[in-house]
Amino acid sequence: MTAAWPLVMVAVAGALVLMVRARRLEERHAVLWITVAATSGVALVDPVRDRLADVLGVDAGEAALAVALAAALVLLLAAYAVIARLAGQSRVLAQRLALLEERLGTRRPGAERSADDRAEVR
Amino acid sequence: MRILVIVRALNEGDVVGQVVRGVRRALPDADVLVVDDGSTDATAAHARDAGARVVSLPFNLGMGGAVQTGYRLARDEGYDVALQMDGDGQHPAAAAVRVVETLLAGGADMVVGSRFAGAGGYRSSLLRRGGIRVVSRVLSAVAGCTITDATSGLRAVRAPAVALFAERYPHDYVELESLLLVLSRGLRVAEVPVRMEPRRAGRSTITPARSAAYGVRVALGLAVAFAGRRAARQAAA
Repeated sequence: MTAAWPLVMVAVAGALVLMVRARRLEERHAVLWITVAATSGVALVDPVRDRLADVLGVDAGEAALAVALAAALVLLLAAYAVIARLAGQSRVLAQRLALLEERLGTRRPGAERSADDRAEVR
Repeated sequence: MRILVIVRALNEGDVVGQVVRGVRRALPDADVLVVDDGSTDATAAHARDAGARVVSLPFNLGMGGAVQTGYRLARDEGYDVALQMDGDGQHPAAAAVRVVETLLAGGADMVVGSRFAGAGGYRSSLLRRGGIRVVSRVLSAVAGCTITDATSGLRAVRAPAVALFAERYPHDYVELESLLLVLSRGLRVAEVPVRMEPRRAGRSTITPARSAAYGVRVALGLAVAFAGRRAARQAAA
C-alpha cells in the first residue's frame, strides 16, 4: 500500500459528508458506509492484509479481493434490507389509498386508469 | 351474519362480471368486493356494472397484497365471514357456496375448497399430482388434519382469521403460507371437496418448466413457512 491510501480514505469520507449534507444519503446509511470503508481500509493496510492472507491461507492479492468482496456484500445486503422495508411500506400505502378512494368514491365509476396514473408508478 | 366475498382480479374484464353475478345469485345476502389488482383493462368497470364494490389498487401488488386489501376492509367493517375466490372464473359459485356452508355449519375457523378431496373434475400432469400428494402428506402430518389441496385459492374464514390476515398476509407462497399462518395461531382448518372449472379466459400459466419451478417453490415455501412458524411460536412463548 502506498502513501496514496490515506488520501483515498479522506476522499471517501469527504464524499460521504458532502452527500449527507446535500441529503443524497441518509445519516444512518452513511454510518454504515463509514464503518465498512474504515474497516476495509484498515484491512487493506500492508501488515493487516498480510496477517489476513496468512489466516485465510491465500496470497496478499487474494486477501485484498476478499476484503473488497466482503465490503460490497455487506453494503448490498443492507440495500436489500432497505428495499424489503420500502416494499412493505408502499404495499400498505397502496392498500390504504385504494380503500380510502373506494370509501370516498373519488375514482370515477368506470374510469380507466389514465396514462398519468401509470406514469406515476414508473 | 355478515359475509364478504373477496374476488381478486387482474385484467379479467372478460369474465369478472360473470363471476360477480354468479356469486351474487348463489349468495344473495353476501356483499361482493372485487379487488382490482392494477388492471389495465376494464375489469373495475365490469365488476361495478355487475353489482360489486370495487377497490382499485394504484399498481399491481400480486395475489397476497391484493387479497389482504379485501381482508383489511372486512376487518374494518366488521364482517363475520370472508370468502376468498379468484376472478378468472375457475371457482364456480356452487363451490363457493359449499365452502361457506361448511364454514358456517362446522367449528372450523377456515375452510378450504379442495380440488383433490374427491369431487373430481380436475386433471393435471402425473408429476404435478405426485408433487401435490407429497406436499399434502407433509402438511397433513403437521396440521393434524387432512389437507389435500394446500394451494387452493378458494377459502372462507371467520373473524379471527380475518383479523389475522388483515394484519399479516404472506406475499411469496400465498396459499401455503397463509394456511400455515392460520394453523400456527391454533385456529382450526377444514377442507371440503369442490369441483373447479378450467379458466374461462386468459391462459393458464402452467407449463412443464413452470411445474418444475412450482415444485421447488412449494418446497421453499414449506421451509420458509416452517421457519416462520417456529419464530411465531417462540414469540408467543
